[in-house]
This record gives sequence, C-alpha cells and structure tokens, in this order.
Amino acid sequence: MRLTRTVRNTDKVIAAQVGMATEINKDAVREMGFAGEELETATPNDLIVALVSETEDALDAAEQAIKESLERPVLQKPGAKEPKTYATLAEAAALENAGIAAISVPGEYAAREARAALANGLHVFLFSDNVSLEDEVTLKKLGQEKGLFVMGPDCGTAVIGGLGLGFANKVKPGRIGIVAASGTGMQQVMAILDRLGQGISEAIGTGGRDLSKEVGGITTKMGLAFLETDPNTAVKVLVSKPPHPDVRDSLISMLDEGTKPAVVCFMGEEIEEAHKRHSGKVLFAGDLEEAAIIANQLAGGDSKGRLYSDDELSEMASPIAARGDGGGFFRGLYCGGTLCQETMTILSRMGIDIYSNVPWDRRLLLEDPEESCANACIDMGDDYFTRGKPHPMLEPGMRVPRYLAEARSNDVGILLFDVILGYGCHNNPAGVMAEAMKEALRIRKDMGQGLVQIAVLVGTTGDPQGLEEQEAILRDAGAIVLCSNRAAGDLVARIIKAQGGKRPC
Amino acid sequence: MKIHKDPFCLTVVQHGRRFDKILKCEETYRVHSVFDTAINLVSGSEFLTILPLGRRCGKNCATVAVSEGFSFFALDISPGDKVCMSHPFRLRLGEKTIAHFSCSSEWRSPLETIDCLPSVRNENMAVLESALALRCRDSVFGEATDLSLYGAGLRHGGTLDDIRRTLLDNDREGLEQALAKVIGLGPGLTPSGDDLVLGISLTRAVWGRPRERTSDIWESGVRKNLDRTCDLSAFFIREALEGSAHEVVESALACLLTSEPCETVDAVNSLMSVGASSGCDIGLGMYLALDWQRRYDWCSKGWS
Repeated sequence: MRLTRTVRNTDKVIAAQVGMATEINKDAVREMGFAGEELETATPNDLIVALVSETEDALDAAEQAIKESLERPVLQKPGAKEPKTYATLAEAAALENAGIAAISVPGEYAAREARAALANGLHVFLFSDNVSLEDEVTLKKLGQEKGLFVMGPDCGTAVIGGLGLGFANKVKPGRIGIVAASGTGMQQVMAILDRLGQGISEAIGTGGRDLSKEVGGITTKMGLAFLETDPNTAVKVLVSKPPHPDVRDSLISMLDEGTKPAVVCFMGEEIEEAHKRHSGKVLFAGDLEEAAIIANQLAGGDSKGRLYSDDELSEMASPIAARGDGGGFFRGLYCGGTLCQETMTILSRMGIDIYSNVPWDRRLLLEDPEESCANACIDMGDDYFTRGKPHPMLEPGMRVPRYLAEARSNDVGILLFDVILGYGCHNNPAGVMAEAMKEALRIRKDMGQGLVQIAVLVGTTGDPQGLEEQEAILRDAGAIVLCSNRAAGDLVARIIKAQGGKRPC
Repeated sequence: MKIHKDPFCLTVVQHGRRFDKILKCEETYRVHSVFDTAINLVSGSEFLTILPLGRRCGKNCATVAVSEGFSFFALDISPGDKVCMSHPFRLRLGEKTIAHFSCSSEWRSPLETIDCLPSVRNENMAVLESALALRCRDSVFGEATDLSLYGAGLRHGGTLDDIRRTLLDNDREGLEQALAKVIGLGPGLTPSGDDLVLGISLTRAVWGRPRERTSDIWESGVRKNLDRTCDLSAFFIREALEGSAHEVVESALACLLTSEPCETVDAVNSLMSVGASSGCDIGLGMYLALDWQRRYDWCSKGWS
C-alpha cells in the first residue's frame, strides 16, 4: 500500500498498481490495459507492479522509486578496507610498533596465546575468562620477569597510551592514572572524571583475582609503579574489591612511599576503619563517585561535592513517594558486576538488606538466581547468566526478559539498571532498554500500578553511542537517569525508606 | 567475560504457542521473507513471525529485544535460509543469527478472558468509528468508512452489503461469490480485502466461541476462496477463523468488547497503525461485523 502510494505520487504517473498477483488484482491490471504471459502466469505469491505514465522518464522515475523501496540497505560501505588478518600471534608480533596483544579466545587456549605474546615481547590484555588461577600466577610472574604487563584474565577495560582495549570509554588525555581490578568500576570512575573535565593518563586493568593472596597483586603493583614514574600521571587511583589483607597492606605501603597522591576505593570496605589504620598520604573513597571526585580535586580540578546533592536526591525521591509509585520492592538488574556490588554496599550501609546472586553476605544469597526476592540486585553479567550467551554489555537484550518478568511482579515498585557505553559495547544499549521500559509501563498500566524506573548511564562525551543521545532515549522512555551509580543507590534507599523501609524476604 | 560476536543473538522475550513446534523440532521451517521489522518463517502453509519488542506478540509470533529502529535487514538473513534448532533453546536463522528462547515466556491471548457472549457498547463503537473516519481514507474501502451512512458497508459496489445479506439469508453460494470479490483485492502483501475479511472472521470466531456449533457458512465460504490470495495472507485469515490474530488486533477486539472507552482508544489507535492500511482494513472488518451484529444479530447467524 505504501509503495503504491509512493508510486502514484510520482510526477506524470497516471495509474499504478502494486500488489500481490491475485486474480482480482490481475483483473485490475488487465483493466489498465496490460496483457501477456507474465501476467497470466503470475501467482498470488508474486508481486505485480503495473505502471501507466505520460512519459518514459516518469516511468523510469517510478521504477527507480520501487527499486529503492525494495532493495536492501547496503550493509558495507563501498571501499571499506577489510581488516588485515594474521595466521599466528608471532606473525602479528613481528609488526613494527606492536606492543600489546589483546587476547580474546576461549579460556582453555588463552594461557597458551598469552605465553606466546610474552615470548614475543608483548604486553598482554587478556579479555578471556576461565583461565586457571595457576596459569594466571605463572603468566604474571613470567611477565614480571620480562617487565611486561599481564592485564587479566577476565580483564574488561584498559586505556593504554590513549588506546582503548576491551569495553573502553573514549577519554581525554589527562593527569589521572587508574589501576583497577574491575572493568565497570574503572569505567564509572573514568566517566565521572570526564564529566568533571579531567582526562586519563593510563588506565590499567588487572583482572578480578589480581589482589588475591595467590596472585599477590603482581599486575596492580606493576601498574602503580608505572604510574609513579609516568611523567603524564599526577594522581593515582586504585579500584578493587577488598584485597587479601596481606596484599592490601603491601599496596598501601607502596602508595604511601610514592611521591604522588593516591586515592583508593576498596569496594565494600568501611572507609572510617581504613583511615584509622592508615594516616599516610593515601586517601580512601567509600564509592566510585567519591574516588573520582577526590582524584579530580587532587589533580587541581574545581573542588566539588557530590555530583548530586542531598537536596537534589530528595527532590527526586519526594514526588515519587508522594505518588506512591515506588511502593514495592526494589530490583536492580546490572551488566556491571562492580556497580551491582556498589549498590548493595550503599543500601547495606543505609540498613537495607539486598538479596543477590553475588551477595557480600551468604545470608542474602538468592536461592535461585532466576527468581528475585524482597529487595534484590542481580549481576546479569555473572557466569550463571552468560554461559553460552552473550554478556549483556554486548547484547543488552539478554537482560530484557528478566526486566519484564520483574515488571510483571506486583510486589515490585522500583527497577534499576545500568547502561554502559564505550567501544566494544552494544551500539544502542539505551534503545534496547527503552523498548523494555515502554513494555514494562504498558504491563504496569494493565495491572493498574505505577513503576519507578531508574537508569545509571556510564559513559563519556566522546563515546561512539553518543552520551546525550543515549540519555535522551532513556528519559523519553520515562527513566530517571543518573550518571553516578552511588547516587542511584542513594535515591533507591530514599524511596524505599519513604515507602516504609525494608521488608523480609 | 564472554564474547560471542558472531553469530548475532536475538533475545526472545515472549513467544506464542505455535513456536513450540519449531522448538521441539517437530516441523522444519525456512525463512519466507525479511522486512525491516519482521522476519517470516514458513513450513508448508504455516507461518511464524519474529517481531521487535514494540510490535507485540501473538500465537504465531516471537518478540525479540532489540532497540527501536533496529532493522532485521542488518542480520543478513535471506528468504530460503534454513531455520533449525542448534541447541535446546537456540533457533538458528540462516548462517549468522541465533534467536535465544531460554528467557522467553509464553504469550497469552487477550481474547482468552472472553468466555461468555460479549456485548457491543455504543461508546466503543464510536471510538472505532471516529478512528476509521480519520485514518482510513486511503483504504480501498475508504468510502465504506463513511460510517455516518445508515448501515455501514452499503457501498463499494454493493459487495459488502452482499456479504451481509447473503449470510443473513443463509445463502452459501451467494456468500462465496461475494467473498470471491473481496479476497485477494487490493494492494499490499496482505491485500486490503483479505484484511477486511480477517477482521470480520476474528470477530465472528470470538462471538461463536461459546457456542457448541460445528459448521459456519462464513468459514466455509472464506476457506473456499483462500486460494485466491497469497499464502501468507491466507494463513492469517485461517488463524482469524480459529479465533486468533496478532496481539494488537486481538487487543483491539478485546477492548471493543469488554473495556471502557478510554482504554479502547489506545488499543484502536495501535490497530490503526498496523501496516500502511492493514490496521484500518482489519478495523473496518471488525466494525462491520459488530455493526451488523447490533442491527441483525449477524455474528450469531450462519452457524449450524
């Protein structure tokens, strides 16, 4: 119908018929004066196009309009260069200026490739998971001997010499260096620093097990030592889950002995306790936002308090509480494991128990990761959910069925999710979640209930998805959008408390 | 971290019961056609459709989580491509695409709740009437949407009135002839005449559901004429005769029959947005069936 309308609107086209070749439509075409074998042998499953025009040119124009409507869009830009491929890592390593091998192969083969990279004098960015702890220790010790970094395994993000590896945000060059055992934790810090006008000198990922007793923080220590001597770095930031106590002490001593100021965020650690134990030059942050704000101040940026003040968060929470929309349990569905952990920490500090598939406290472990209970935060990037499926940062749609299932639950009042931007991530994560949000609102409307939907947007102004565009998509779909996960957790806590506080599972 | 760049994964959020056959490997399908926002699969005369989240679901549909504006053309799936299960929950479409069903829930029809003889509320009819008058002027049946005339459907060469009259007269042959003038008529992948018949058929099927009757001259008349149209459209009409259609269509009818006018407005507007003219033609079919029902108890006639 749309095609018929398009063609009929072409200048000097007198009559047009575009439809399936049913007998009735063929009669109409015959009435237009057409005849012939093609017409007679056409079946109802064929498309028939009949045009009558005043001039040949008009006929050509109409034909062209039809072709354009029917042809597929061109998927590959003409002239686009095919990426060069190499048969072996050694062949690629022989390239002039090659310095880092980014390895993303199944875990069982990853150690072998990493060894080959180190043997060829390359630093290693090991994106793969399922590498044994034994292999990790061996590789890192080998790298340490050769003066080469082994970032990973399971390393999600790094920015080395301005080059983003893994899920990396586009950041400005700057004076703050980061070492992080957490991909999304690093991304959150980089995104807030970008918002505060700061750039990054280097961002070195270590992999989540680097600060365990077995690995002993080999890559973290190499990274901090590198930042200490790096002329571009003025401030050091260290982000991790709480390390093994022995590793922690050696790291803090190392930072204390350095010449540059340092900020440490050991997620889940009580910072007052940390300050009591260390009165040196290391500053402790209780959350990722605070780590970025302190680093910004140390780097000479404008002194600024929280990104969202108490008053601003109260202003957001009050109307929700007044409408009664947030009545019911809170459910957080995260791509980023560290962000999930941070939310649990923040709410726990406010006296709200959060159940999870990755809880701090075994008491709060969900019996079934597929079924939430009470207030809950789910790490959808956890192995349980990604086994045989893409990570939700690559394919946010993996999270949508669970999101809609939570929306269908009439004891849920608040849904929170993260949207992570950067190279390597989905090209429109906000778009996918916006569709889910609209569907969730439709479901709730049918149920006669409201729903509070909060999005944590982690990205920089340079990210390829477009930070402003992604924010607008989420807002248009009805989300409260915050660029700090800490603030989102705080807002959730305020809404829960306004609705009467916690309830047991 | 897990990385699966290739093949591309579509996460299925909801699917209708008809997908069970393909998920249990009971039937072999192939890709029939690919559109910006729909992928049709075919096995003999049976069709299944994959749609993006905003386009809702249905008994023969699966809804996948992709962003608004995502084009299925980008998936490099072509008509004729094989469709097969590569894992208990993974449906492979061609070489490079997989639809994951492991997180999907079963779709429930909004018409399921209608289990007694419905009534036609004048306010809801007025909602549909004004939507048709506003948005359906381009339809092949545009003049029939001038519903202010006494007895809608009296125009269009009398064909629509023939349909109304022959059924009331229990004139099986006359009804078949009248339907032959409508089925396959007009532009579009589903010709306009087919959409109109779909709207009428679905309404009659829902009306006839509580009745213990076995034969319907409407159904037999329609089925006899289905070879006059394309396979996909014929399939949709067969489904409507059995009381099911896409969720947007079912929701509109369910609202017209059971809801308050304020709810009906949204559902009817969604219906009117289906295709270039399909929604309007289906809506007109519903309107005619319901209007004739009010005047002549039309949906209750023709059964034996």
